[in-house]
This record gives sequence, structure tokens and C-alpha cells, in this order.
Amino acid sequence: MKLSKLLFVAGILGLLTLPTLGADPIKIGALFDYTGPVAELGPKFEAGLRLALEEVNYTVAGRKIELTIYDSATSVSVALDMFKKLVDSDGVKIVIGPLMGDAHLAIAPYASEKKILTTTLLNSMRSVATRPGTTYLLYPTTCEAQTYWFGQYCYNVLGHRTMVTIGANYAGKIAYANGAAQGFIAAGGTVVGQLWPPVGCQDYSPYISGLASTVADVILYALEGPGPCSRFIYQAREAGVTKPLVTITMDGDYTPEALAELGDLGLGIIGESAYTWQLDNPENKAFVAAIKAKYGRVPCSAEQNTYALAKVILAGLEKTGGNVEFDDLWEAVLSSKLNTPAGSVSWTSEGVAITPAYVCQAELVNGVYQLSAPLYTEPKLIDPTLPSSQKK
Amino acid sequence: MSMFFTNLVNGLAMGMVYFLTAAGMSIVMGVMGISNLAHGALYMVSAYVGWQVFKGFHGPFTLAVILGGLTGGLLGLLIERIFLRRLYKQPNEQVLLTYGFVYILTNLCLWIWQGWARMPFTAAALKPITIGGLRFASSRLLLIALGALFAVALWYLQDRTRLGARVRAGMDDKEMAQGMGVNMEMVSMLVFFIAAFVAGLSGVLGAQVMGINTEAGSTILVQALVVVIVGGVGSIQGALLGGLLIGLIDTFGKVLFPQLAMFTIYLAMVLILVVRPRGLLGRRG
Repeated sequence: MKLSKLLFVAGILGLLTLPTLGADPIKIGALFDYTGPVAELGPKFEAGLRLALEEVNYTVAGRKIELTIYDSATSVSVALDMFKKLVDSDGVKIVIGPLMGDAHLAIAPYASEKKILTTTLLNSMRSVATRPGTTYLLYPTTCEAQTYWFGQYCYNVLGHRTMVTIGANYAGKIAYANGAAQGFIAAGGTVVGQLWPPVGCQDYSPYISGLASTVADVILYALEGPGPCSRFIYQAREAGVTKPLVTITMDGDYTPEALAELGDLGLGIIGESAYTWQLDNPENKAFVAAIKAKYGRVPCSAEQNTYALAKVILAGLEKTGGNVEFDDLWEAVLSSKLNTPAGSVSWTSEGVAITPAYVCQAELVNGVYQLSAPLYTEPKLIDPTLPSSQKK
Repeated sequence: MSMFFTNLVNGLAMGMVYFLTAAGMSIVMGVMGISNLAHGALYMVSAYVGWQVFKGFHGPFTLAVILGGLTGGLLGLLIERIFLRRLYKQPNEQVLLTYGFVYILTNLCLWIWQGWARMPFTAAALKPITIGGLRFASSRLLLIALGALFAVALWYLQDRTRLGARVRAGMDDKEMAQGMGVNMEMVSMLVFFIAAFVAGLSGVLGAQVMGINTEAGSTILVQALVVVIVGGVGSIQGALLGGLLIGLIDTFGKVLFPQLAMFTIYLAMVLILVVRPRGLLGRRG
């Protein structure tokens, strides 16, 4: 009697768990930088991704999710090697990351060949989206579109007429700086100079020496992460550069830790950003509360971006019923429209996200240095040079 | 003209950081024949320790410098006593082992201090100085002055003391020096400690210009190697000359030929090696 009861319960449990246990797990890979010049962002990207997956208990469409994360070490060659490892050894069909634009260029052909749905973490060059057979989701948009409008903002709203840009010498930051410069010129401004220090530059003073006497009204910097940005600000102010500084991807570079280290030096710098933790929407309030509860700090775009990307992919997987085949998943993702902490996200046919963007600044509130609520909101960033935009 | 003087100060300040980091490396190579690639990592760990003392524990800057230096020295001594002394005359193993320590120490720093970059921590206390209408960062002027002071101290130690005489004897002919009763084991230990101690000092001082991050060790290692090659192995004066030269070439290279910023110091190194294969002031043998 006891044995038959036991067998009955076991049978019921077996039937209940059959759909989950029977299906193979969905393998998702991620490449974040835990070492190299942007090492501090790796754990933040991971935190956002894990939070999104924890919210669904690592399960989507009745299938468990298996997450594999590798260190892309802020290196193109390492990123490509790790991407191949994820695809060839670990059998993943979806890869989130890495961060650096140069790595996207290196990975894109292989991702296309193997039909792997791959995402950027913080923009990428439009050429990644427009290459034939692309499998890349560009989030929040292209580098060029992310900053083009901000160049116009510098002219139209901030009232600057001449600009000098200083950007890290790699594909992503070159595209950001050029996007802002083109927007500034299109609005009527003049770009009097562009400087390109190498990635990992420890001493910007040779470049800054020229900025101290520049005729430009404003200096726009686009460097490779919080550390280099903070170092540049410090060295510029130390050298007596008093011209206004403006920047791009502000939220990614002005992490709470970077702001605390910079102190008063960071105040007054205005920048564009795809996110600020002070956005007033229900998704963001819940997200900020969850990150605060888990990590004791406010999030920045690093956590937000992977969180939003995970939500987008999960929505796509729900639509396909857990089918990870690229063609089905790609279509499902591009047809999705979600509200994320950073605002609404939809997609162009090239896989470029359509998202809002904000102008923010650092501020000191009750003794804490933090990023402000938006001073201005650009409701929808759409790269006008994309083929889908031109058709419209 | 103001740009010239500004960059002269910038280049000399960076040159002093390179000198302080490379000096110990050069002597260790000269005396012990050891290529210690963990030297840059010692610079980084010490810089973090200095930051911790000054910002974390609100200690005085002098204490931050001394404890930073001691951390570098003791860590270096541990690496030498436990590992490297078993690998004399085995350059391949030395390189592999000490490069392994770069990873270990970098990850240790990541674990303890996390990846976020630290700003120069004396920034608030140091105001710019105006000389002849030109504004200079006082941290850079201080770095030049302290670098010069340490250069004199190291030169005195090497050329005017009994320990220095033993070091030079060991560099010229180790067996002969041992035969004359010099305890080369003790000399090597002391040299390794002093070299790592100076690298540690350099880390805390260099952080006042460049800040600290987990990349700093690898970056400074490459610069220090270039300085050792340019200045010549085993010479304090060579390290000073090489450090200042590389600092100035790097700085003015970025100003005058920004497109070649990644390569100027290597071009200079190649040219100097073509003319002087032993480096500018390298010892014979």
C-alpha cells in the first residue's frame, strides 16, 4: 500500500516535470570584460543579466536557461576566441556582448556564418548592422545615432559654436565622436580639431596641453570607460583647462564609484546618456529597487542594458516557444516592443534598437555624487542612414 | 612656447615614474640575471595600498608612500625567496613564473579593491603652481623633485657605499666576488628588496598623476622594459637617462605626431638599439 502510494506520487511528479526535464536547456552565452581598461563594467553587466534571468527563475517557454559567461578581457582577440568557444564548445545559440566595437567587427562574420543571435552591450557602429546577413542586435542604437542628436543639442541648446573632440582610438569611440561632430556641424557649428589618444592611455596631458589654449567653445570627450574618462577629467582640470566639457554615454562612464572618486571635478559636465537611474517609470523603479536590494547601490546603464537585452531575448523566446533557431528568434525579437527601465524599445529591420536618449549631468545631493534626472529627453533615436529609415 | 614648457614638465614627470620603476628592474637584471616581469604588478599593488592608507584609513601621505614601498619590497622579497631563487640562470622559467604573478596580483587587486579606477588621491591637497605666467600641475613638479632625490640616493647607494661596491662586484663577476668573501645570496636578497621597494614607491607617486587601475601594472611594465633596454641593463644612470628620454619622447611624440602615439617610444628604442646595442649606459659583459 505504502509502495503503491509512493509510486503514484512519483508518477505525478514525473508527469509534472516532464516538459521541463525532457527539453534540453536553452544555452545563452555572455562575454563581459572583467579585466582590462573597462574591467569595472564586467560585474555590472553580469548583475543586470542575472537579475533578468532570476526574475523568470532561469526558465522560458518551459525550458531551463543555462548561462555561460567568459571574460573578454577588453581584447578583440580574446573576445573572438571566447565567442568561438561559446559557439563551438558550449553550443550556445545566443550571445550577449562583448562591449568593444572593434570586437563586434571581428565577431560579426563568424556570428553570421554560424547564425548566432548576438547583441552589443552599449551601441556599435552602424556598419555592424548593415553588413549582409547580420545577426547582431544593436542596443540602444548605433554609436553614430546615439551621439548625432547630442552634437545638435550642444549647438542649439547649450549655445556652443566651436568644438574639439577627444576620442579613444578604436572603432566604437571614433564612431561616437564622429556622430556628435557631424550633428554639431549639421546644426551649424564648427569642429576645430579631433584628437585620438590610444586605448589604455594613462597620461592624457600631451593631448590636454593643446586643449588648454584651444579656440573651441567646448570639449567633447569620448573615452573607453569610467577609468579613462575620470583620468581625463582630472588631468584636464589639473592642467588648467576651464572650457566646458561635454561627453557621451554619460551613464556608462559616470558609475556611482567613478562619481564618488571624481567628487567636485565631475560637477557641471553635461552628457548624453541612454539611461539614468532617476528615470520616472514603473519598470525603472522596480529595477532600481531590485539592484539596490541585491547590491546596495543604484544601477547604471551597464546593468540596465543587459537587463533590457535579456528581457528582449526572453520575450522573443516566449514567442518562438523556446525555439532558438536564428531565423525564427530574429523575427520574434524584431517584432517585439517592450517597456524597459530605460524606456520603450522596438527594432528596425536591421536589428537596431529604437530607444529614447537623455541629457544628464552629475550633481551633489545630500553629500552623494550622482547622475541627475534627465535635463532633456530625445524620445526616439533612429539612425537616419539605415536602409530601413531611408525607405520610409 | 607655453605648450613646450608644459609638455617638458609632463614628459619629465612621466620620465621620473618610468625611471623609478625601471631602476630596480635594471639592477635586478644586472646583478641577479633575473627578468622580473612582476615588477609592474608590484607597482600596481603598492599604489592600491597607498590609496588604502591615504583614502581608506585617512593616514598621512608620507605613511602611504612608505607602506606602499614596503608592500612592494616585501612582496618582491617573498617572490624571490620562495620562487625565483630556485630558478637562477633559467630565463624562460623566470619569465613564465613572474608573468604568472602579474595575473595573480592583478586578480588579487580586482578581488580586494574591485575594478573601478582610483583618482590621484592627493588631488585635493595639491593646487597648481604658476611660474612665469605658466600654470603647472604641482603633482608633476613634486614627482620630478622626488624622482631626482631618489636618483641621487640610488646613485649614492650604488657608487658610494660598501653594499653598492658588492653589487657592482657581483655584476662584473659573481664567482670572483663570492671567492672574495662577498655573501652574494644576501646581496641578491637586499637588491631584490630595494628594487621592489622603489617600484612600490613609484606606484604610490605615479598614482598622483595617473591614478590607479588594474591595467597600470601591465602598462608600466612595458614602459619599464623599454627604459631598461634604452638605458642599458644594470645602470642607475642608464635607467635615469632612459626614463627621462622615453618620458619626453612619449610626451612630445603624442603632441607632434599623435597618429604615431602607440609607436614613438618603440621607434626610439629600435633606433637606440641600432646605434648602441647595449643601451645608452649599459654595462659591458
